[in-house]
Amino acid sequence: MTKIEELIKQYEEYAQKNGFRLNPGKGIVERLVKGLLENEKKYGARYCPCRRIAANKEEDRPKICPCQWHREEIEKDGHCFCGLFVRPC
Amino acid sequence: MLELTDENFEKEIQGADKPILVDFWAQWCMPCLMLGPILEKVAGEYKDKLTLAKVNLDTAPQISQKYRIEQIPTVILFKEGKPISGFIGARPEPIIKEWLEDILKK
Repeated sequence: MTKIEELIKQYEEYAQKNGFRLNPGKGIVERLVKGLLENEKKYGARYCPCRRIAANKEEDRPKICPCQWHREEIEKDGHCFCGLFVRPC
Repeated sequence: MLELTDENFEKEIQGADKPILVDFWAQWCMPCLMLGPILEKVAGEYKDKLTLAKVNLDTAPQISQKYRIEQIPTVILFKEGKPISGFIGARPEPIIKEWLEDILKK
């Protein structure tokens, strides 16, 4: 299993446990997960690819995926801002 | 389309003869990739009224911080060197056109 597949599986399990699901677009999920891994390489943590990284650990901590805002975004908009997690059908 | 960075941002924005529609984006941001082609199409239709510019957050960390960009995509319209309006997140083409029509009238 590649690192990307492994991470997708982890996020899938997280989504299931929390009553939502991963975006059904496989390509979308793969790209986002690649972005998370890029951020991990560049900044040291899996920061959301749709948020600015301030390079300040304290300030950036809430942006680590799953981010601080994902639950309310899923509830309000049907998906988290970046589109990794979506509301169940 | 202009590519703006920390180095050329202020010069291009201040020296523009038309409003500049700035798209703040990053490579791995899916909503950014969805919005990009829509903005290019719209900017093509409004080419007499505005110029489209793209700012990759990786090449413009100072400018992104200055304009308090927290989420991307963020789109800001600069007129006479000043940010006058904008939105966050991907939007459908008709909504963007409606917003532009309204803001360019002012």
